[in-house]
Amino acid sequence: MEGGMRVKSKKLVAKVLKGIAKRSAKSASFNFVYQPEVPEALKEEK
Amino acid sequence: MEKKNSLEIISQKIIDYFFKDYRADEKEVLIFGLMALLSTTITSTLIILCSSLLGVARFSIIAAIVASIMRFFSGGIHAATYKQCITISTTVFVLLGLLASYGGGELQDSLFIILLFILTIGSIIIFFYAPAEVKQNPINSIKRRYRLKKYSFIILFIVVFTSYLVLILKKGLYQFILAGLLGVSWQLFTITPLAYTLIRLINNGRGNESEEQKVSS
Repeated sequence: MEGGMRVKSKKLVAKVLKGIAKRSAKSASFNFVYQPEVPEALKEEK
Repeated sequence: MEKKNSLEIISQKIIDYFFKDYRADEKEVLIFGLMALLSTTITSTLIILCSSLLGVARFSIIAAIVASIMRFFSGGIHAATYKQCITISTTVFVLLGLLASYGGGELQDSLFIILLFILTIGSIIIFFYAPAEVKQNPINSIKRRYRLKKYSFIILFIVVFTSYLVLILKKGLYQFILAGLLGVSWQLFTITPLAYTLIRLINNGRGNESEEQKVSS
């Protein structure tokens, strides 16, 4: 039961982080003056 | 081998710990997402903390929000390291908060002229330089470039029009109007070649990798 909840939470966190990553890759820039390299997987989706 | 910065190392360690079973390319995306989240959260928190100490948090927050929204579409200079980013962002937005706090009352009669000035100069800067890209996030698609430029114009017009409405409908909010306008001005400055030259000088001075601006066509 607890393990199932943990897997669900992990999937949810991964989904949120992927969403933020996609949004950030589509934007011209991060919010402040820092910009890391955009991952290859997201470059293709642009 | 490319040197990783502190934020990247921390994000990588967190993702490696919690997402051991994920593929390498999936992890790369998650690390990028976490970096975006952490960089925004940490920098915002520091701006709020430092500006609160000086009693100008309201104005610094407005300037930072307006500049961040516009930055999303117009791009601009980037620091070589995350530490540099925190230092520049916190210093700039605290200073803008202070300027808005002390200058808002003094400049109330000139705000219409400042609005018109920012609209004119801002439109020219956006037309020539937005979206200003960096090599870490190149904008190769013409369609995407056009969309980002269009949204940059829209954001500029919304900020100027909202400021104008507040100015004529509600008296006494001069400091807030000035804070928003200063945020826009800072963001517009960061997409100009002058800002790229300055950041290149700072980076070269510190022995870091320099950035190159690709001016939009």
